[in-house]
Amino acid sequence: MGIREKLIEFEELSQKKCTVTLVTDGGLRNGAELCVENCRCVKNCDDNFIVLSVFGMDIHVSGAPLVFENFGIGGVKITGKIHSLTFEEN
Amino acid sequence: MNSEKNIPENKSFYFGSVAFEGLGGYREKMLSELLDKGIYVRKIKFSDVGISGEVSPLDYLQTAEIARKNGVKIRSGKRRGLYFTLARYRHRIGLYVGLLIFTLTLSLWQTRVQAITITGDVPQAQIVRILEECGIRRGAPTQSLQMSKAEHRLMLEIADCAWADVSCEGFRVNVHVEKGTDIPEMETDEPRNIVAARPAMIISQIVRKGASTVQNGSGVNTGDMLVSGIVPDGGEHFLTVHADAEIIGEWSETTEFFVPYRETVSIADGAKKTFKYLILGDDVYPLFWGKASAENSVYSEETRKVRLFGEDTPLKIKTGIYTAYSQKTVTRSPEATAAELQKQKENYEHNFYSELEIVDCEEKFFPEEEGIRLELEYTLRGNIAKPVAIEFGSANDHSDS
Repeated sequence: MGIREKLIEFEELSQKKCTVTLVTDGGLRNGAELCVENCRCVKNCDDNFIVLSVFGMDIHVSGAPLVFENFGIGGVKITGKIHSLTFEEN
Repeated sequence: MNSEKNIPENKSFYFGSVAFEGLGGYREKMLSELLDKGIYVRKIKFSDVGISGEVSPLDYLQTAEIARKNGVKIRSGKRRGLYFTLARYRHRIGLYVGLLIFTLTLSLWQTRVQAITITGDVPQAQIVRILEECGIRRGAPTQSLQMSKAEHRLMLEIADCAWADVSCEGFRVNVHVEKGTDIPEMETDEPRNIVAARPAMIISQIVRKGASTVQNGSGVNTGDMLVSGIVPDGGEHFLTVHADAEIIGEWSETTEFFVPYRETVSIADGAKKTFKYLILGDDVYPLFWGKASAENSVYSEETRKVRLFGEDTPLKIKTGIYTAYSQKTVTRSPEATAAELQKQKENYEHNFYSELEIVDCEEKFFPEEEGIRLELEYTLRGNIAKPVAIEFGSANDHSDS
């Protein structure tokens, strides 16, 4: 395997990784921040329900009101009162 | 709550942001495509029928295209940031021409000498003359400066020059010239005599080395021998020594002062002209047009720091003040005239007799029509010893003469 192939493999591996960070301040209902890296697409979005797709699973976020504070290729940051967080294999 | 480290900061938002609102269509598809294209969106909110958010002005057109493709009717909202501020002035041609001229002028200045800074302990006029002869002057092109030639000339032409350094930083020429330190006076043991420095009467003498040739109470003239450096060795021969002594003499001096009752004096209380300068580090920028000067004036200056929101800044403001002299006629009473004479006497003593002992001072006031004349006769005491080297002549010289 040459260097080029190794680099491609490394790139693919890094894209398969997904880091989900949840930061709360006195409970989910008092407001929380959810950061999801390597988000591939948004399957569903609503004022109180968002489904994000990452490699190998979907992340269901429900809450009110949910706001995408930051939305881009580097990661997605959702803020709001999060009621529940579900991970579902796809 | 701070999770900023997880999401990289998007630099495109430094230029500004455009708020947008979208209605209907497939929002999810739109967001997924924005992700694919690498477009950053901020503050995305959802409502029953629409979506709102903020994008960089550089990405707005692409966002609008993606939204239209996915059936979302998009409408731009509030625009803010540097991008739109600059866009507002895009028709101000004068502004851009001015900026261009400023940049060109600055670039042009960089190629010419604008300032010459001279440091060291050599008179600046001499250095400036040598530099000018070597072609280093304000306005000269920095590319063609002959700095090593100037250094050689400085070393050759300045007496006791220890080292010279000429360097060019940007448009500033720095010159540093140092003189060699003088050789300190060393105490030697060369044979010497001590003679009188002035006519006086000998009061006391402390002879550490040598043979005294005068008695206390005797009078001496300038150059008279006080202590001889040639002393007998106890036998038939003589030795030469380094005579050392403190000979205290006493003498009289007379001086006089005159202070008129009416006098026209120049007092610096006239009109004031101020010139302000902005100081940044070593650079001084005048905040006025023309030359800072005023005739027949006394100059003073004050510098204060520039403070911003209570904090010190590196800037300083220097204020140069020229206060004009005005002619005033002063009329003194006899008491004030006598007081002025006393003041002059004190100044005189401080300036000329501070190292001597004033044994007596006889004051004689002579009131005249125009003012008062003060005659002072001082009796002073001090060391009158003056060392002189002993000169030897050879036996041959003596026989020739």
